[in-house]
Amino acid sequence: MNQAIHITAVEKSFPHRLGRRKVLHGISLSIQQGEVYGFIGPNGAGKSTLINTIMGFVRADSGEALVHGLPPSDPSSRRAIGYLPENPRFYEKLTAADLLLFGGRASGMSKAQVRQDMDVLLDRLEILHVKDRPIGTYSKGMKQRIGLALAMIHDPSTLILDEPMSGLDPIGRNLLKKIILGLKASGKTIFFSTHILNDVETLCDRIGLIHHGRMIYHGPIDDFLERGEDFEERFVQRIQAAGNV
Amino acid sequence: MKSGNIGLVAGITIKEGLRNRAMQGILAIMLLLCLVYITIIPMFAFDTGKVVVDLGFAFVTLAGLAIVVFLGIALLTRDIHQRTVCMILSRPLSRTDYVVGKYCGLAGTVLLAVLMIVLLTVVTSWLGIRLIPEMNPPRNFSWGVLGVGVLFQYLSLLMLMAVAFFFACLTTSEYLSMLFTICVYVIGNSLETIIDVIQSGQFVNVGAGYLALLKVVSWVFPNLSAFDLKVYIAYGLPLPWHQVVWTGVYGLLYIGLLAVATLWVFKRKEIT
Repeated sequence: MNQAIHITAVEKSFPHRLGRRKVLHGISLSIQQGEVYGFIGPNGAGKSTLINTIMGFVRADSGEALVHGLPPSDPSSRRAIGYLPENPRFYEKLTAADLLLFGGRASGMSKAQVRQDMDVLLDRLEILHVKDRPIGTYSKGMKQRIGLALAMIHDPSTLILDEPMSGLDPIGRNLLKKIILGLKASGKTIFFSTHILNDVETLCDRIGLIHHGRMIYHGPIDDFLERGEDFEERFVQRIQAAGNV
Repeated sequence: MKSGNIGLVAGITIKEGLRNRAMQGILAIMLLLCLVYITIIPMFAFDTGKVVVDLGFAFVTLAGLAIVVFLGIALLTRDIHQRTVCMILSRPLSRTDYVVGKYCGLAGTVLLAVLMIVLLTVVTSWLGIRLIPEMNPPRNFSWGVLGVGVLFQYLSLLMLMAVAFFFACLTTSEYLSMLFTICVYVIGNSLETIIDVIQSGQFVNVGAGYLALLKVVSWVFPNLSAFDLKVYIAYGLPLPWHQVVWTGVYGLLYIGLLAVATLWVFKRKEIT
């Protein structure tokens, strides 16, 4: 199987007071095409920083991140990616239609093609009725859904979702789970970060557990759990065992 | 850098800019000012033609400055600090496409605003000249010179916007970017006057070296007063074409150099 995302020994530090604080310590992982990979860890573990590195928003101090064999500095690496940030922000005066038209066109689609696919996608996400309303008037959950629509408009083979469930009510979460399962069934690669563990068990093939910028587990969910153990209990155990490394 | 991508970024920037309340507020204030303007001009005893030009251009400058500072800087810094830019940079677009597209989009927004205000001022002035006997047209008025004057005013706003872009990428705060840009605007409009006062030798005497340094600084900052052609429009004077062309080239070069510096900074900027 081909690798959709390949990360080797990525290190990253940020300025902190007079020095620098390391937030990623030699992270390595690879995600195969067609796989759903859950990237889990407590708040501040380094999940979003790694995603920002993959997307090219921040540069790794050392190591390498490749998306479909291309470095993040190459804009083409994002051609086959759909990205949903944690707390997505948009131009508030644009409508969903304006935004998706931009997203689709920027990813190489024709105007007619975007217009054709837009309605189907917005209907699937149950926000078709607000297509022509400025995004500034949307609720948080609706913004999360329009963010997902923007990530999916060009039918990318890989989706990178940073805390996709945050800000969604139970109905929204249920809908998103169904969509992710649908994408999984159609062979898409999904890399998503979360700290909501219930979602991970139902959606993921493999997981990566990160704590204080160090990968403390990377592999199938079944190997992570010991016989009959609760996922959340096991997660807490692993984090406590790792301590303040 | 791809022109298609630049066009897409410019397109959403223009849409966002024109629908922004700040933009609509600025244009509404300009409309009110035009109404005030027509009532003020007849109060002047002489040279109302000069007053028409001065006030008309003051509106264009004021609106342009407000759009550059309050809309341009706000849109750019929010993009970077609130991570709206991720919406754009998560597509297969380079950072160069983003910066150039954003600049072109804002330049387009400012152009539309300038054209609207010029049209409003011209119509108001024309009505005033027709209806109010005390109001006179500028002497030897030429539409061509007015066109060049407006173009230069627009070019000076584009230079200021390039400065605003540079500061917005360099600093971490919207207010700092605004403050620095306003400082550059004030300096850019004042240095030429200071040099003229020094050269007149009436009030202050300084060494030739200091004066030469000041002259260099006045072009580094940038020299916005060089783009002010009001006097030629108001008095119907022929334009000094040699100087006009060189000033235009200076403006375009200044924008180009600052764009390179902005790109250099933005390409190294981490969006966290």
